[in-house]
Amino acid sequence: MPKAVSSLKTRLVLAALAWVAVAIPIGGGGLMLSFRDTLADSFDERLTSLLGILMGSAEIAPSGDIVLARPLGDPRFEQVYSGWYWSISHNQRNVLRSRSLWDQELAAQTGPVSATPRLRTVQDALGKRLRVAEQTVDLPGITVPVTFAISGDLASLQADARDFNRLLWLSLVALGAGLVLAILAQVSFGLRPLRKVTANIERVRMGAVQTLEATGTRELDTLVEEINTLLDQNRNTLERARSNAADLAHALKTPLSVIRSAMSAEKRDDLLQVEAMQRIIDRHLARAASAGPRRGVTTPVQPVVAALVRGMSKIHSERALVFETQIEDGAIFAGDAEDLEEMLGNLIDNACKWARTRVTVTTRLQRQELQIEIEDDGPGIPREQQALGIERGQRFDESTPGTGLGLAIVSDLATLYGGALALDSSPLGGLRARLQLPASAAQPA
Amino acid sequence: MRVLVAEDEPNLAARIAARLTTAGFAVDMAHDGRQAHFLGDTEAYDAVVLDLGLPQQDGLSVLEQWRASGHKVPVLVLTARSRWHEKLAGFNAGADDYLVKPFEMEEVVVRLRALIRRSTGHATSTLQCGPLRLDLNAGMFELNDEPLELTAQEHRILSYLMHHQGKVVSRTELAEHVYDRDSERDSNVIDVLISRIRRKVGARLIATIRGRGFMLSNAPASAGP
Repeated sequence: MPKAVSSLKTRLVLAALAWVAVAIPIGGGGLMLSFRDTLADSFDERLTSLLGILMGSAEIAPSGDIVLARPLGDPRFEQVYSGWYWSISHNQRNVLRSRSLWDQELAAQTGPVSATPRLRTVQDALGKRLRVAEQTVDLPGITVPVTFAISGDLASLQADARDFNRLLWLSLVALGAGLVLAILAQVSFGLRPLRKVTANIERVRMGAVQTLEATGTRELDTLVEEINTLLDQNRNTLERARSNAADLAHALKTPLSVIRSAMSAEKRDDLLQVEAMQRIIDRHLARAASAGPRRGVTTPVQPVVAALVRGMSKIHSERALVFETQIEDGAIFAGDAEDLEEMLGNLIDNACKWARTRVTVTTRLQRQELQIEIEDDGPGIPREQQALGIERGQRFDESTPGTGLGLAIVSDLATLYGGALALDSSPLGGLRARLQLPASAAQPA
Repeated sequence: MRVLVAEDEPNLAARIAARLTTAGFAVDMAHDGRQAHFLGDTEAYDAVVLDLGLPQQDGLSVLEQWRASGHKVPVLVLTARSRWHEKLAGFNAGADDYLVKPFEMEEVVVRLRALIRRSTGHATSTLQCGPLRLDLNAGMFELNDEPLELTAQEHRILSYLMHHQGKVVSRTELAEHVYDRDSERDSNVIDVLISRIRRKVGARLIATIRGRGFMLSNAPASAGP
């Protein structure tokens, strides 16, 4: 298994760095070698041209001796032991030599007479590495061939090469650093649309928006379109399931109403059957219509409670009930709005039915958990029945017909979300229903 | 008291209408959303029974349109959808109460009477005017604690006057709230009915205000010239 690279950005940067790390030394090395060759060639060329000047300046005096008509212009030939020497010799003897040679001799090798100079590198008695150009020619009026030799100090060549190399590597390092910065900039610019998509997906997950925004890059927008199609399908499937369940309920309930109204009150057993059917429909409808937990769907509690309290005030307008709600700002249910409406609707309605004057709704946030308490100041229910309720939501419909079904539905829904419904006695005197639900960590956008 | 029943299932609609007629209401029926909207817009009803699942125009939008154009008639919503989401949608659209199907017919009568009573500003379920008492739960009149025998039309007129006691009610208004749409409306008949009621409850309670109409009150002196 290859070790996973942490991110696209790291991958791109690492690949580019490897490329830079290989290319720059190879390029630098090549440049260095070729520059050294060029320097050596131009050194040789200079020596050769100086040799030509030397040969051109040599004349045969009437005495038969070789003399130099003009001195070579370069002052280095006058500096003692400068490494820049010349000599003219025949019969293995220096006839003439530069002043710089002082007491030394430039050991010339007599070769065959030729039209081009011979080049070689020697070490002189002082340890200097010299480049020597020499040429053996026939001079008119002299019987033996004469060898002209001229030398230059290679140290100057090496100094030039060193200077160049230092400059070369400095600029290569600068180039490398520049490339790394450019790569970082390029990668982050190139990956910006991807980051945008990631941020967008996060917003969809949180439920802040329904679809992803296009990024303006062709490759990513294909992906964005596909994701949007999937999101749409997901939503439509849920909507269809819900409306199917609701339509089925509607379709069943209207004939059920007719049957019920047609029955005489004496047929008590038959009426009970109709009521049982109604309960079954309600209970299963509640479960089927529930969205269930889905990632990223969140519902703030406050507006739902406010809408329910408005509705309850109408339903129970005879009673002049006082509603007290204390909903924390951060109370956000990690689930679907309709499911929260269903749970709170049943609990608050139940509290209203039993309350004398007061119904309270309070939330408490504990890390990942949202606690909603609904209390009333009515007569409450006995402890044994509360215990039954905590153990099995199903028992409610049998123990307290009429109000029980609502509590069973709430318990079903809460369980679906990994929460729970618990009942106990309220300090107000009536029932306290405590709903535990998953809280959303995120704030709604 | 006159009500509109908007329900598309004919069997259920007929049963509701029959029960309401028995309870003393004048009943009009609408079988789809458009008809319901038109009737609610043009006729004077004391209450409406509105099914949310109407064809052509659903009940919610009918209700929203009524409220948007300022109709304050109390509306009892009938729905097959028992989820709170739908109930809240109903209340947000302007419903005053709801009943989830299937329901007891008696429940419709009780809720309607309560809605009408509240909409006319009465807090208790018994309306009293001197010796005359209307028990809204039973829908019965009593005079000096004795049951009072009234015909259906007399009952409606007296009931309307009872709900609006202390106010002048015109003949047209009475006719509008006492007859259903199919009846012949003749305001002379109203005068005949009023005099019959006067004979039963005593002339003192119902005053004739010339050129304006009638007023039910427990004023000590006989009103009107």
